[in-house]
Amino acid sequence: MQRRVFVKLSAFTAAVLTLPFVPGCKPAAPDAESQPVFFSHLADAKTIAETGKAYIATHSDENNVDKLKKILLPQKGIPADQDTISRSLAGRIANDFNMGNTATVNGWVLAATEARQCALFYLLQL
Amino acid sequence: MHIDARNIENHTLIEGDICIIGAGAAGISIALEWIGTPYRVILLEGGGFEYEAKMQELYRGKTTGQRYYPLESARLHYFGGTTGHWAGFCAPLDEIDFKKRDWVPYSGWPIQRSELDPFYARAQKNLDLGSYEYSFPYYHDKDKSLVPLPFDEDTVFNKMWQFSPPSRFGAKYRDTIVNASNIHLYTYANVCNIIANEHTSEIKEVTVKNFAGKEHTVRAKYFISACCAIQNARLLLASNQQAPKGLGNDNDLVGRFFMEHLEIKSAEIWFPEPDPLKLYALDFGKTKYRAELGITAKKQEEYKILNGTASFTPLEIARTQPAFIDIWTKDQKQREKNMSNYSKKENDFKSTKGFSNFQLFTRIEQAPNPNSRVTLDTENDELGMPRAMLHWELTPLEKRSIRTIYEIIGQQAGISEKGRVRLLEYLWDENDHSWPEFTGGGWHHMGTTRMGTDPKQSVVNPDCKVHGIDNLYMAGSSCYVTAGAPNPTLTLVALSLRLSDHLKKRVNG
Repeated sequence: MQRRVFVKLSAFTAAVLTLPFVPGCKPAAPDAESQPVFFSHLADAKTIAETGKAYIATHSDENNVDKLKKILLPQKGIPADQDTISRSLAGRIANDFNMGNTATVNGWVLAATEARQCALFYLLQL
Repeated sequence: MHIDARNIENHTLIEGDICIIGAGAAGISIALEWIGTPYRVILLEGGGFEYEAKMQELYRGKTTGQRYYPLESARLHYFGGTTGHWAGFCAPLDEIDFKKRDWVPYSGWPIQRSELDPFYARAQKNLDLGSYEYSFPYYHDKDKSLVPLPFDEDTVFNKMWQFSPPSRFGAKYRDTIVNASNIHLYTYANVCNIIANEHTSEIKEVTVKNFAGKEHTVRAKYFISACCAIQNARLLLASNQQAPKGLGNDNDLVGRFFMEHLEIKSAEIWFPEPDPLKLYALDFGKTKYRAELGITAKKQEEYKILNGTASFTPLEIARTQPAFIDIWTKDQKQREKNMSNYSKKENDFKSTKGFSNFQLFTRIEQAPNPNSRVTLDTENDELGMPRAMLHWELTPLEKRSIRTIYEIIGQQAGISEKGRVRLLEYLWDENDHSWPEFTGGGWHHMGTTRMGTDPKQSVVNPDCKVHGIDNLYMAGSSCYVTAGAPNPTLTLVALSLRLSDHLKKRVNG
C-alpha cells in the first residue's frame, strides 16, 4: 500500500478537494460524505475503495449510494453545506470510537461512519 | 566444589541434605541461597560448562499439534541452562494472572501476586535488573521524554519491562558455586530416575548417568527438580518403578497443561505523522526498560480475554524479519547467525524523527489446556531414558483474545486521533480458529506440574511440593498455573527463592 497518494486533507479542506484516484478509477465525487479525512492521511484511494467494497460485502443492505448518503448526511439526508457535513462527520466518527461503534473492515479498525464513507467512496467509483 | 561425575568411581554413593536436579536459573538461584549454611547441597547438572551437541541431543523429542521449535534447540543443557541464550526480557506477572477468571478455564493460582512481591524484589538482583519497580509513572518521572501514547489508562496501560544484560548464569555464578564449600556441583550427572519408597510417600534416591558409562546414586533428605517444564514432567513420568503412571501422577496431571507464550505479529498501527515512540523502542543490549501496551484487568474481564501485550517495530524493519519459527533451526551455528541478523535489523529502530507505521507484535498467555501436554515416547535417549513428546495445542480463546486486543487498541487510536490499526489477515475472520504458519512461541515452557491445593487438579502444592510425596519439590515454570504475558524467567527465579525459604524453614525445624 502506498501512503499519501492522497493529498493531505484537513477537515475543512476536505469539502472542496477531490480525492486523487488510481488509474482505472473514475474521479471521486467531491462530497465530504464520501471522504474519510483522517483515514485518507494513511491510506491511498485504492485501499479506501477496497475497504469500502469489503464493507459493502458484509453490509449488503447498505449497497446503495442514496441510502449511504442518507445515513451519512447530518439531517435525514437533507443536503447541507460541505463544512457542516464535514464537522458533523468528524463528530460522528469521534462519537463512534468513543461508543465502541467500530467496524473492522479488511482488518482496519474504523469508526462505523468512516467505514460507510469508504463504502460510499467505492460506490461512487463504479 | 565441583566434581565431574565422569571421573569418579562407578556406582559412587553421593549424599547430602538437599539435592537440586538441574543447574539453570531455578537450580542455581536456589543453590546460591544455601551457600554458607551448615547444609550439604548436591547440585546435579546433566551437562558440563559448555554447549555440547551430544548433550542437547538428550532433549530431542517429537512434537505434534501446533508447529513448534525442535525441542533439542529450545533449552540449553549445560551449567547455567537456558540463560545461556535468553534475551533478558523481565516483568512480573500481573495481579490478574493469579486470579480465578471465569472466562479462562483452569485459571487461578493458590497464591497471589502480593505473596511473590518480596521474592520478585530479590530475584531482580539475581538477574542484574534495577529496582523492583514496574509502574510507568516511575520511569516517566525519571525521563519525561518517554511519552506514552494518548490512550485511556483505564483501558490500555503501559506495561513496563526491564532488560537483564542478559545475565548468563553459567558465566556469572560458576565461580561462586564452585568455590562454595558446602555446594557440591556435579557436572555430567544426568538424573534418569527418581526412586521412591514402597508407598511413594518419600524419595529415597536418584540415579544419575553419563556418557562415560558411569552410574551413581544420590541420596538426600530433600529433592528439588529444577530441570525446566518439559524435563521436569519427563523425569516424573519416567520415574515409574514404584508408581506405574509416574511419580506425582496419580491423577494423570503430570505433563498436562503445557503452556507457551504465543509470540506473533498481529497488526499494524499507522500514524499521519512520524513518531519515534521512544517509550516503546528497544535497542538490544542497551535498552534497560521500555513499555508495551497491555489491556487493563477491568477490560480483560469485560471482554473476557487473555492477558497479552503489544510491542512496536517499525514496519519497514518488521517486514524484513522472518518469523522466529522459521529461523530457529536445529543447527546451533545457523541459528545464531539467523538470530544475529534479526537483532541487527531490530537495532535499526533509531530514527530520530520516528516512523509513521509500526508492526504490532503480541506476547500473550495461552489458556491452560489439559490436552496440551508432555508425554513419554517409546524411544529412549542414549542414556536409556524415554524421550519427551510434546503436543502443543491452542484454543479459540487465544485467537479471539489477540483479535480483541487489537480492536481495543484500534478503538483507542481512533478516540485519540493518533492513528488507525489494521489487523493482519489471519485475524479478519472471527470464525476462523486456525493459525498461520508463522505462529510461534517464546521458547517458554510452563505448566506441566501445575500448582494447586487440590491433588485432583494439580501436581504440586503452594510450596511447590509434589502432592503425596513428602520430600520432592518442583522448581521453575513447570509450577505455573497460568502464564501471564511476561517472559517467565523473573517469576521462576522468584518462585525458586520462595521455595528455598520454605525449605530452610523446614530443614531448620
